[in-house]
Amino acid sequence: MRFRGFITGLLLLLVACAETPQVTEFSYAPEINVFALLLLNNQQKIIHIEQSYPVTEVVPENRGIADARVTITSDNQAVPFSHLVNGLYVEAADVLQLMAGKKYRLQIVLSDGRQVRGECTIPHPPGITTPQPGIPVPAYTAVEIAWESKARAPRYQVSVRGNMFGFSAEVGTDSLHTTFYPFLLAQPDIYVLKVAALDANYHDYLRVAEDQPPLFRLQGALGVFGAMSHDEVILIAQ
Amino acid sequence: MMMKRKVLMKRRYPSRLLCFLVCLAGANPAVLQERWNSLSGFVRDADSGEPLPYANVYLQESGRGGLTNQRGYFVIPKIPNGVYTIKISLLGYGSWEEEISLSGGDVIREVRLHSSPIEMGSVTKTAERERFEREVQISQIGLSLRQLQTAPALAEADVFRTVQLLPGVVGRSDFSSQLYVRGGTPDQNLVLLDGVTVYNPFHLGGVFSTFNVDAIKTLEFHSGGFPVEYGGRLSSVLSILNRDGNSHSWQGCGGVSLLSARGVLEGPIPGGSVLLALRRTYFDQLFKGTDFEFPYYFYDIQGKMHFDLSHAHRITLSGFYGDDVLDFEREGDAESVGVDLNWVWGNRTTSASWRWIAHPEFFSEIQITRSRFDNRLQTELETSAQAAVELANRITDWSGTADIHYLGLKNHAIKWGGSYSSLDFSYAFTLDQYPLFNYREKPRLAAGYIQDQWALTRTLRISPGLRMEYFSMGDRWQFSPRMGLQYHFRPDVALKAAVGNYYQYLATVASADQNFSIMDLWLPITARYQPQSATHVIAGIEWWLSSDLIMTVEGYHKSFRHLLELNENGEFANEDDDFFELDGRAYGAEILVKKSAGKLQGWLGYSYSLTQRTRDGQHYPPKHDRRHAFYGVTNWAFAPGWVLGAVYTFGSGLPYTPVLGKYMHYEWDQDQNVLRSELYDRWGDKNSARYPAYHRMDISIRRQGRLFGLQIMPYLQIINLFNRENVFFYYWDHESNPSRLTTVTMFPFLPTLGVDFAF
Repeated sequence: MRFRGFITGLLLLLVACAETPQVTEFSYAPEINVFALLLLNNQQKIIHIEQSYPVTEVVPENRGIADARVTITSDNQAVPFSHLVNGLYVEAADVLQLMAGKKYRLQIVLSDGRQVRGECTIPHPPGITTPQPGIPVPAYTAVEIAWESKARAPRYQVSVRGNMFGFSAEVGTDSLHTTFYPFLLAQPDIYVLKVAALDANYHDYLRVAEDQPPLFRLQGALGVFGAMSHDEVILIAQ
Repeated sequence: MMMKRKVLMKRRYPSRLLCFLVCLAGANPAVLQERWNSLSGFVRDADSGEPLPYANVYLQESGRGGLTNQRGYFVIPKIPNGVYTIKISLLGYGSWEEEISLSGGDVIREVRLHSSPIEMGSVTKTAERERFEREVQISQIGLSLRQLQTAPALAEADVFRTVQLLPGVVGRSDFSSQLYVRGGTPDQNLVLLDGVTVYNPFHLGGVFSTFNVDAIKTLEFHSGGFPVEYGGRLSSVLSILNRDGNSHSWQGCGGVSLLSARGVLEGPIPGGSVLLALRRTYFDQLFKGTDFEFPYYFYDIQGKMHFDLSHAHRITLSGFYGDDVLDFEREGDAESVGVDLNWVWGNRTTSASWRWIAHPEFFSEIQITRSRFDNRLQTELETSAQAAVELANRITDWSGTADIHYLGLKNHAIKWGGSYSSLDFSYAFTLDQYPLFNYREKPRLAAGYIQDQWALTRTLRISPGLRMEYFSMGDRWQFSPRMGLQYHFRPDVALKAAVGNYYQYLATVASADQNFSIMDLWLPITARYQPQSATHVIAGIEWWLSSDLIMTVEGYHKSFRHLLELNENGEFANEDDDFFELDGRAYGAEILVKKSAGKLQGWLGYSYSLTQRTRDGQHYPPKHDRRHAFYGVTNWAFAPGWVLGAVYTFGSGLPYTPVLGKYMHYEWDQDQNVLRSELYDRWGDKNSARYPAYHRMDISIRRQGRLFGLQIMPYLQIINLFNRENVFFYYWDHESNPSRLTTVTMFPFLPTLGVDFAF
């Protein structure tokens, strides 16, 4: 009798367990996605405007937003940007001067009235003090990298790229130090070592782990309006 | 079985003043000066010599009695001169009876009970029932060896897996044996092995717990409202005591499962006994030299020995040594660099304890312990002999504890004690012997407590207690008053309640969102943060439906303050943003119906719970917020030598943060001077969605027989009998367009077999 009860119980549970897991569908309204970066060294301005998508939808090749009015303002200078292709916006004439320590404001107005605003300050470029250019360093050893700057940036990014064997690495440092962990130089080569200073917006945009809530510093959009400046030296590892 | 003996042993203890010096303070000296008799002693298993906790000791003519404590010790104080019949009983053992004549002095008995089949209609009570009648205890459950061994589990019996089947405990996945107790996180559980704190009680990244079930004698689990003798954690206490070892004859047991081979050997030594338990996985050895080399193994060794110097003095030494080892080597080729990885992590605990019965009414234990967790990862790249990375993490905990029970008052059982811990946490990260990161903190933690179990009337007992703690980082002094109450409005039914404050000075560095963790990384809470704290309020009813069938209904509310949660977006060098400080609460109700004797044993449990965390004014459920859970655990000795076990678990869906959308994330590659892009998830509100409900049915069958003089017990277990696809997590793959949802599920239908043996 007990055994029969046990078997009946098992069969009832079998029915309960038969459900197939399903993920719930969620509704999501697409948002404006902006990537705007000012690069001090080559006076480059990258402005990309597109939209985000519900996770289940196809992302098209041409996803740029073409009908936005884009302006970057600094001091009393307001420079308009116009659409080139696939959401990429460029200056009509190369008039916007990028200067370290200066604040810039971005304004985007879409044809449907939605607006995006942001501001950033271009960080002072670092000056690499160690290693010194042209002085060979021993291969396979740790090299300490140090730099100085007129004003400390929120974050520095160190990258190294070898010419012959294609060794390449890029690592962010923390916000306080102006020295960096030694790089592991795998073999003798000629390397390009770059140290870049990042502004607070771009720093936050990059430092967020992929599965964590993002730190966007824009009003009205996902993404970033940030700035970078850098210094570089040639490093010979023997 | 009834035994009658007439043995009289009297003994006068030396200086009673000495007792007071040792016992620090507390009792009224006049009590000891009176000319009363006391009856005390130990109750042990006649076959093994193991002490029997919670046996009933009754002095018939006086109507007084008591229970043995966890060490099998009892005392009945202040008995007038006369002739009495002493009766001792415990379910599963033949009762013991003796006539004694008391005429001034302290009488000591060493009683050995013979195990005996349980008879129908027996009036003997289980240890649980005895405790119910004589102690204030709430949110506390003990699990027997049979319950641990027969609950179906992956490959072999596992302590934590069985505890996960108790109401109020949530296991987040099949891959983790971590315990989430009444809204708490795993680091809020105090895990003690023979009184020693174990910091990482897991093997194989949490899939198995470290304790070898064969060596366990008792397991006690407090899911809340735990007494003042325990501290330093917010949510629960899991206290495991290993067996002392057979002090009469040599015996052994062991087994081979698909996971490991294990064995226990125990026997007498002059003045005491010794027990040694070994366990090791064997897949690495099995496939050595083949194409399927398995680079991982774990082992653990547990040992315990005791020496009885006299009736009043016992020295016990115990140790646990266990490691997980991942030793991986891959030769480089044209496309990849060769790697030599050696990763070893594990616990080592050692303890020495001295049990001293300075006077029959004073039972004291002094213990010195060391618990160490070591984690060392070494990697060497083939390109260069110097290209070595080493990660090392160590926790060392040296502790001294003293616990004293005073049992000389008729209606009081007073317990007090103290502890001092010297802790050492270190983390180091070196690259080619160049220190990249070095962290070391050496905090100290001291505590003192006092507690009384006070029988106010025949039906009302209270248990007031106070715990005081000092933590050196930030010079923190904390006071934790706690109170328990038990009111028997019928002999079989009691109303229970408990309230108390709890503080915790250590935290683990773990992401609240992670699905899998190989180990916990512990840190002391610095002066920058407040100690984590919680208040428990619990009320419930315990109802004994028959001599071995119990039903408990409990409701609880738990408020958390200053909980620390890792800030994964924190900057490396900025100590201010390492953690978020959260508040929280949890409340719920639990029902447990448990049958702890007879051919059919097990329990049915249901829990309703709601857990919430609050950060910056925003409320959200944590990952372990399971609203409904139902557990059915049974083992049935349906024929001589056969035991059928079954476990059914239902849990409503756990929360997760859903991916609502996706957006292109751009980064400027300053090395190549190009813009790189990748699709990122656009997350919804934190933990705002729920996985489907969890169902799992496991069964096992064991057969006991004899082969070549050995007792053998082959068994077959089936995990997830119905092959239910329980969701572990969802993952959106953006490589395909449109993005594809991948569902990672937990254990499939999984049969495992093994054999246990004993001699």
